[in-house]
Amino acid sequence: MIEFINVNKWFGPIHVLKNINLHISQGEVIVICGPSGGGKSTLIRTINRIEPIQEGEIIVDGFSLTNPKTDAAALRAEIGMVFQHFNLYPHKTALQNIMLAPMKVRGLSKKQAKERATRLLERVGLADKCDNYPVQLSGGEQQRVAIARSLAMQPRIMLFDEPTSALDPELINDVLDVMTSLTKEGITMVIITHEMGFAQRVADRVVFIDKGEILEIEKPSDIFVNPKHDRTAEFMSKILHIPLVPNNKKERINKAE
Amino acid sequence: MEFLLEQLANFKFYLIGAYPRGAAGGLFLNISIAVLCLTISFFIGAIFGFGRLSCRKFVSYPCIIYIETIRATPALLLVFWFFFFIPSVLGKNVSLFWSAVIALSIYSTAYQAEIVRAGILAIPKGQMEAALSSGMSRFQALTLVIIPQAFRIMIPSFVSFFISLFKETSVTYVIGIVELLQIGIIVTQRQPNRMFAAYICMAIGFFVVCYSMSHLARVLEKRLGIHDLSSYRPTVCRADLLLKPCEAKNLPTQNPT
Repeated sequence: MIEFINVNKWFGPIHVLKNINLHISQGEVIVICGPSGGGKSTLIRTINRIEPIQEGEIIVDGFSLTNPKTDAAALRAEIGMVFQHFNLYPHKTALQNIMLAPMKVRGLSKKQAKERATRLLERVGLADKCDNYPVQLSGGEQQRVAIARSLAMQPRIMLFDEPTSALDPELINDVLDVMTSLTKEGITMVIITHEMGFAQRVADRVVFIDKGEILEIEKPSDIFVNPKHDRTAEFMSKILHIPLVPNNKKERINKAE
Repeated sequence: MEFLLEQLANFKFYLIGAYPRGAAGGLFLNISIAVLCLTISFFIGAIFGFGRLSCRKFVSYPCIIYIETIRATPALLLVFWFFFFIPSVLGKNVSLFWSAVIALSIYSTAYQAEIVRAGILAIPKGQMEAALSSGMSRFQALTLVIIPQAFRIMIPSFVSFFISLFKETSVTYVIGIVELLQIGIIVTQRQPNRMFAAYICMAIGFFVVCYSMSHLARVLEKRLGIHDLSSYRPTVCRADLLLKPCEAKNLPTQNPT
């Protein structure tokens, strides 16, 4: 579904993505984690070409993103994206936020779009907030509207760029519940998050990125308990607040004993 | 004092000049020049404003040169310039009124372009990204998401620019347009002892229009809900920063001393 082949990206002189190779198959749930400034956001934003890449190739759904003939807008319509700061349209109500793209891009009638939007708002538990403007909603509610807005396009891929990082701890669970329910629908999901409990529950694979390089791709059960790489172990123990020793060192310790 | 009352009683002359017997003038002329210039330059200014934002250098550079040149030129100079040069370039005479309108339109185009550009730039990048990632084309994103929001931000600047443009129309008296300032001068030349009263009358004329415009701006701002914009930064409530002192008094203080 999504294929990164030797992807390199620079922001001016800064090399932000180094030789990324990653294959994500249909229906897979991938969690990306790593320290800030490591290139997680950039990686996820290259998938819908909001960030262009300088080298390598990304193939999404059979279309190469580096090919100038690829219709980026048509491809983006199939890829939902949820942002850290929600990015709801402040001049439109929750319902209108959700209706806009289906009407303008998919060509749905107003009635159909409204029906779909109402259904989605119900699904994220905000049926009573449909006429509220984003300012009148809490952070968690805004993020759930943002998820509903992406779902309204019936995407086959969903990208989540730290969807819970800007939220109060109390509100995080509402958003995570909605996301968990999505994982059961067979949508391919790429999620950047630091909610490791959530990652453990939903992820098929966890990708660890630092300094623009993919250091590890593992099943969640492995990466949290038995990280291979020193850097991963250090990061995980800080996030999970438990001391972790990387695999190779463990062997050395065992041998010494 | 009685001179002032006498002048105010004849205020019609300040309003429309010699109108049924001669050409319309006075305050009416100031307003019509300002409104015409604002309308013309709004559209041309928008083109230059977007042009300057273009990533294509052959579009943006001419716009930058135009805007920076005109902004560095006094309105008076432009009025003179068009008055003397249009006839020699076009080979035919243009009426005083239109020569003034063209000159001031060109003058205000540069400012309007900057207002448009600032308004567009004030919209956070995330809005464009959200719109694009939902599959909209760049044009749709601009017209459906960015411009409606940017326009609200621009309104106060438009009004304050209109006020200064309206006052700037008084420079057209140098090419012999009988607007409010010229009327006042005519009165003082005919009746030198009424000079003081005449100048106060002019000031009143300018004040009434300018003040009502800025009042209108405030009403518009409230009506259009500038407060919506506080949702751009979820962590900072901009409404708190905008609170007027009179409203702040009614709030419960956190630390009663």
